[in-house]
Amino acid sequence: MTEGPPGGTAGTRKLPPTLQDALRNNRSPVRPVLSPDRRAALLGAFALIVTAVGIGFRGMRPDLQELGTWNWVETALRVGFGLTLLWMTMRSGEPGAGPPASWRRVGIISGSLLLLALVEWWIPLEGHAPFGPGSAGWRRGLLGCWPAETALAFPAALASGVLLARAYPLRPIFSGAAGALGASLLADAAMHLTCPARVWTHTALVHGGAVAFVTALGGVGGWLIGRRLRTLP
Amino acid sequence: MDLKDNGSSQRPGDHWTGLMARYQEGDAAAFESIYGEASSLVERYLRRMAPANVVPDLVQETFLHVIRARHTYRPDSPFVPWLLAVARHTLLQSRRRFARRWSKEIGMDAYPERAAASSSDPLDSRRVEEALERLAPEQRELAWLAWVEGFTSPEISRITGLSAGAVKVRLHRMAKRLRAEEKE
Repeated sequence: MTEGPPGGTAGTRKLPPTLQDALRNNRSPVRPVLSPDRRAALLGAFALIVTAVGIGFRGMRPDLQELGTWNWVETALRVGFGLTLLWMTMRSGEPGAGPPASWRRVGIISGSLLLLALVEWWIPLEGHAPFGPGSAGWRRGLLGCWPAETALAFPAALASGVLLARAYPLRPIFSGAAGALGASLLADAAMHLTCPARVWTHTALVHGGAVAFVTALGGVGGWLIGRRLRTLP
Repeated sequence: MDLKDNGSSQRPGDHWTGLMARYQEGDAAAFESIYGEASSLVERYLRRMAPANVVPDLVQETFLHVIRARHTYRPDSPFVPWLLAVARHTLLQSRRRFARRWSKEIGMDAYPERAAASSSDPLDSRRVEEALERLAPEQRELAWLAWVEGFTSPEISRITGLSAGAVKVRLHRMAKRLRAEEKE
């Protein structure tokens, strides 16, 4: 281990002009942000409240009983993965506290596989004509479910973006998208319990489309955060 | 050649934690002290993985990020891993921007300076230096943090973004390989 006076043997160094200017513009007191875990807990609680309000407002789907245990497993997977993404997003806002690279890789791969599985592509289209492509139910679903899920995801996605902007994410686009995806999955859990459609095209394109849209918005938000951070005085 | 993770809790610049807290309260002179004392550590770290001619700019950019991100440092956590995590990010950003130019410049010849002696035995520190120079850049980073600067695995995990388990496994493998090479 290197011993000797703090800072090694170089002694004291004077600030170069660029840093002097930056210091002049950044000498006001700041309050340290809450720890990532606390921020994640607050954000997660908020997202769950919004999800519960959404379920209460829309009402449970009438065929809940016949769907069985797998339905609740799917819901739990969405909620669990969504909360995990929100937690990883908050951690990524503090230098050195972000999740390890291996966790990010596993998260992306398992998340993608999870989303594919949750589409329920194995349910046959026949017998579910009211929501099949081109039907009146399809259009109703598009105009009803897509904006509803987007609106349900938006508050938590926005809160995630605000908390991220208050921090200092080193990968802002990725962090913005991850937070929005987490919020979207919680909204998707609410929609899964309230939307009666069981056609995979509806699930993939309408609900999956809403998830993809909000996630993309989160990425854009992250890009704007990154731009702002680069232009700070 | 002793390549153990010494797990020492004593770190040069532990008082930087207090200085950073004072800077967060608005004491600009505290930041000047941090820069004066810690910039050499950041420079030593960056010299391991970047061409020598870009290191001064990277040091400056690192401390620019420290200024802008000062509100994300929490005084109840150690300062040095946070600082080196910022330095690492600065390095990776720059590497992504200038990848092609760096791939030509980075090589063993790009690191003419050697780190300060890590032990009282000059022969031992020379061996450690020679061992470091044989490693790939990512391995060199881990080895330098652990065996020259004496950071613990959790601290290295915080700096590099690897899990603590992955850090331990990689260090163990490196040490095993280097010892085997020394015996040959």
